[in-house]
Amino acid sequence: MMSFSFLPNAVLVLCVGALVQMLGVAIGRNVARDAVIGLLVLVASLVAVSMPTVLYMAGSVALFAPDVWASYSAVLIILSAIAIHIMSWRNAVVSDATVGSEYYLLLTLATLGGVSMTGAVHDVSFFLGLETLSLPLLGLIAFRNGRIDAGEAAMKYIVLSGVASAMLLFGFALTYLETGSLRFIAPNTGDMPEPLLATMGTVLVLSGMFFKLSAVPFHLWLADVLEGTSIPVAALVAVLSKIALFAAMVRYFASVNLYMSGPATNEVIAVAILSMVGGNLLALVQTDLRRMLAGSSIAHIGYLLVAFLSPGPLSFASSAFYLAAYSVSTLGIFALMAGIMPQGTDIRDWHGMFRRRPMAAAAMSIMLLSLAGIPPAVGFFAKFYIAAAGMAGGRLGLLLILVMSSVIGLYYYLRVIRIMLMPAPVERPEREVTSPWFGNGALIAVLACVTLLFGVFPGTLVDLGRNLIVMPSPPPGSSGQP
Amino acid sequence: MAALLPLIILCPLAVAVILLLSRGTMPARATCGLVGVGMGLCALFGVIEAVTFLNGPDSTGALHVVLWHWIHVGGFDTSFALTLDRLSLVMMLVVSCIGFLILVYACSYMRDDPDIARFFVYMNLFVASMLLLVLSSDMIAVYFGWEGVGVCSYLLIGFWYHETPNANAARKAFVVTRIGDALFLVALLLLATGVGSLDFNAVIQAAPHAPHAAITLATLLLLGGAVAKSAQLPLQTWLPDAMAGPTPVSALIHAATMVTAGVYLIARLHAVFLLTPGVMLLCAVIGFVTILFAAGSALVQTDIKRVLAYSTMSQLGYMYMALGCGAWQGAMFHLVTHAFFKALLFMAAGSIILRVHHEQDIFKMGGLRQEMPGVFWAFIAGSAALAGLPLITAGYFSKEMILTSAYNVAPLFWLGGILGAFLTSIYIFRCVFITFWGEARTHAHGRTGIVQAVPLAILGVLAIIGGWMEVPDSLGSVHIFSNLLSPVLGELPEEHGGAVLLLIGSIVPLIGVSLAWMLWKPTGRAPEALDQPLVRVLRADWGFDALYDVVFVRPYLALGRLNRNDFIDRLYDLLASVTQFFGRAFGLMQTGQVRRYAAWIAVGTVLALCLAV
Repeated sequence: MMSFSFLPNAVLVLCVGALVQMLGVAIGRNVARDAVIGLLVLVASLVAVSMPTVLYMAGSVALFAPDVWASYSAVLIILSAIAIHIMSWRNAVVSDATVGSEYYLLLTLATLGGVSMTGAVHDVSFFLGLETLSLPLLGLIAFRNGRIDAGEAAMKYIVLSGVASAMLLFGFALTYLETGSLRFIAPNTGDMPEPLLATMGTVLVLSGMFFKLSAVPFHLWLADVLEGTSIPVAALVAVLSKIALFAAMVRYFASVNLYMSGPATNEVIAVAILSMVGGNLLALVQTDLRRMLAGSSIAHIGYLLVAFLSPGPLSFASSAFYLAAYSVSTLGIFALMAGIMPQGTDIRDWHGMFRRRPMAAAAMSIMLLSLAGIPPAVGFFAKFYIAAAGMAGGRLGLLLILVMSSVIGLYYYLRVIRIMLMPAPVERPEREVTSPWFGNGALIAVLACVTLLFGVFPGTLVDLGRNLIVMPSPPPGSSGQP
Repeated sequence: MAALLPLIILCPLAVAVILLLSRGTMPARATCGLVGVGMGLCALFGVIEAVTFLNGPDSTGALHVVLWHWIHVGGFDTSFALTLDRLSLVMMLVVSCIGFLILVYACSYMRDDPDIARFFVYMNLFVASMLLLVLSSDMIAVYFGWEGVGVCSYLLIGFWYHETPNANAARKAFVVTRIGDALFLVALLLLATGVGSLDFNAVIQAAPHAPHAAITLATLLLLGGAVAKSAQLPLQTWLPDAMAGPTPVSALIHAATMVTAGVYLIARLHAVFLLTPGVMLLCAVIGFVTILFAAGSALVQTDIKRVLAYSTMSQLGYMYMALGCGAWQGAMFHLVTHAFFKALLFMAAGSIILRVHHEQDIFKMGGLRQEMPGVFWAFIAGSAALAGLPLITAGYFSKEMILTSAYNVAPLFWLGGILGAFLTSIYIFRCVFITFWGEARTHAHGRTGIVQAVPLAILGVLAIIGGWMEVPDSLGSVHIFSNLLSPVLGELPEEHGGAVLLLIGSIVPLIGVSLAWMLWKPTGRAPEALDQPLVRVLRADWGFDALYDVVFVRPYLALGRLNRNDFIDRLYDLLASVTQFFGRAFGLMQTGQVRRYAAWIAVGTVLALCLAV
């Protein structure tokens, strides 16, 4: 049977853009020029998402799905990448003329990996996307040359990421053994001669993905990595890769009835509970803002899994909404850290920030309130939406844990605001505060406004999410999309 | 003129907001000017609204102004709406016009206080809340106003909070009225769940179809709320102490308006109360007991403001007795005339207090007749009206209206009322004779300015002639007031035994005044306050304060001391420390060693596999 495969526009643009950037580095180093090219590539890919597909390929294997879910996640990823791009500029390491150009190249490549994963319906395209995301990430994590903790973080990441990738591949192999298919989808174990193998394959794939999502108990690398690397890269790890992975995971489970208690469902439930409780507990005792955000990020993955586990009309809409809300607020905090106090990641450095930088402290408070889920920030509505989805899906136990662990979250988010309100202690010298460059300041303002505006008028984003209800489409079988 | 109705509330509210935002930086003269203009507009709008309403097409009906729909959820519907009918019209006029006079007077009274702006913030907020209370058509907004006047009362009693007794008095008033507020709130919730709306009309229409027990409970709770607000037995103990506030506060809040809110509420819901004769009987009994109880206390007070406070309580007792007897018009009429003469008495007392160096003990005054003749005549007018001297005073006609209705229900109530009137005439003229006659025991300084004199004069005239808008059949049959209210409160019932009752009611106050003259006429030596044990008990609120202190306050404080360490809080502390502990324990996983991390991944995967298999 003749069928068509196709390449998403954004992937195409990002591939070409990466080549252009490589060419630029080969011709001559100029950080400013490469930064501008990198930004242009990202913006071009954003435009390309909304264009009709141009590149069809003849072939029998469908690699990407052309659906709204993929486009939505891709837009979210590219917007996050643009935000990270803006907050990287004027970063001391990145501005280094000898290595700065590669930074933007790696950023483009990581984005390419993330965007590929969102639409992937084939094991190969998913795995290629995943590694295209992971390997540049490794380079980016280690990018603070001369810093030993950056190297340490990168080493931890490469070793553990290798373990996870191996498990993922083994899972694919087991599934292939049983089903003879490389479709990126959880196999239906009901009608198989040897269901155990397929089940084990699914579990292994899940474990691999949970590692990348840093869900408990696969989360241990996240705090160390976020602490070791530069702030924009930390944002990349905390936001961009999680959107990509979550989008892919939703697609992987499109075929599984999550109402039914199956091996996969059980694992997701267990991981969701552990992540919600564990992430919040981890964040509770941290003194470093980045480690706290690592814990918070783990907890938010747990909340997202609750939405994911609540099949029904609200499930995808609430996940989509929550992804956006989480990304905006987390990016906002990282942008503030990068702009105000790139060196001051200890929470105590933020003492008296309301007096020293009232606007920045106010923006920070908005982001934190959003993450804590307090109105009028968007995080409240996002969490409410998840609760609504959970109620519709009958996941009362999970919701109970969500609410209780959110209470723990309240403590450490509000603690930061409290510290910003308090005057600085005398015995501790105040860390110097810098002014963010114009673009970063504008980014912070936009993110803060978005956090508030979508919190007060969530209608637009909700409508956007409603369109995703029927998505994502399960990947096509032997026949591709015409 | 529907547009004017919200403006009547907004005028004082705007003044309060402006003063609040000025943070006391506005000079006293400008503050007074602003208050004068704001309240003047409020009163003017009130009068215009009243005139146009009464000449308008639905002068016997009601004018509804729906400002916005507020809550519309799950079968419960409430909107923020104002209603003007003839009942709320009377209240609105009392609040805005008498409020205007008292605030003008207060401008002069508080002129030298550094916190004058704060004073007027509270006062204007009070007027706005009170107007909201009387004009709202929905009981949620009524509750809003009800709490608003309660808070303003608290803030104003404790206005001079630097002195501990004032702060204590404010707290006492707040706590005691809070008991009533809680009962009121429960009544509202009961009605809201039963009826699905708190609109007055909806409640009145739904009441006859509701189970009798539920309606009885609701009216009982409403009565409880009203009783606390109006300082009736057994929740009366706060009112005498409330005199700690500035005197204009006592005139406006603790005499003319706030304490009558309960009377208005019951009159507004009279159709519901008519369904529960038991509760009405209780209401009448409470009024009956309070009349005699408070008059007894007033007989032996030495503080001029406390005399007036007990007389307020006693007069409110007449209103409750009237309500209990179904004499709605009588209660409202007495409410209006009482607002005239009691505001007058308080303001006259305030002028005296200002002139004699803030002395409030009547036994240290004396002979003030010559030194302040204007205030003397104003006080005489108010006292005559309070005592109900026949024919020439407003209090006479309203009291007789109540007594006649009470006689028709139960002669015992009438007898109590007459006895109360007798005691009233004795205690108020005791106060007059001791204060204004005899040797001067203090020296009055300064003059009572025109700003104080004009409100006194206006209210003095009203206290005398205000009663002639309702004269019983046997004396001339004028029924302006009851005709005004009959579309809302129903026709006035036929009078029985009018002339004889009137004659007795006319003679008794005269006997009382004569007796007071005999007892306290100037004798050449200074009168002294009695100090027998019985008198001391009477003076101390018949021992109610001591009783409540032993029965409620002390056990409560003991309980508080017992729970000083807040054992419930321990639970939360425990919760917090357990969470912290788990957080730290969980943090132990973060060793920083890659092999351990990899081991955890392996453990997780193996566990997941075990779970699956």
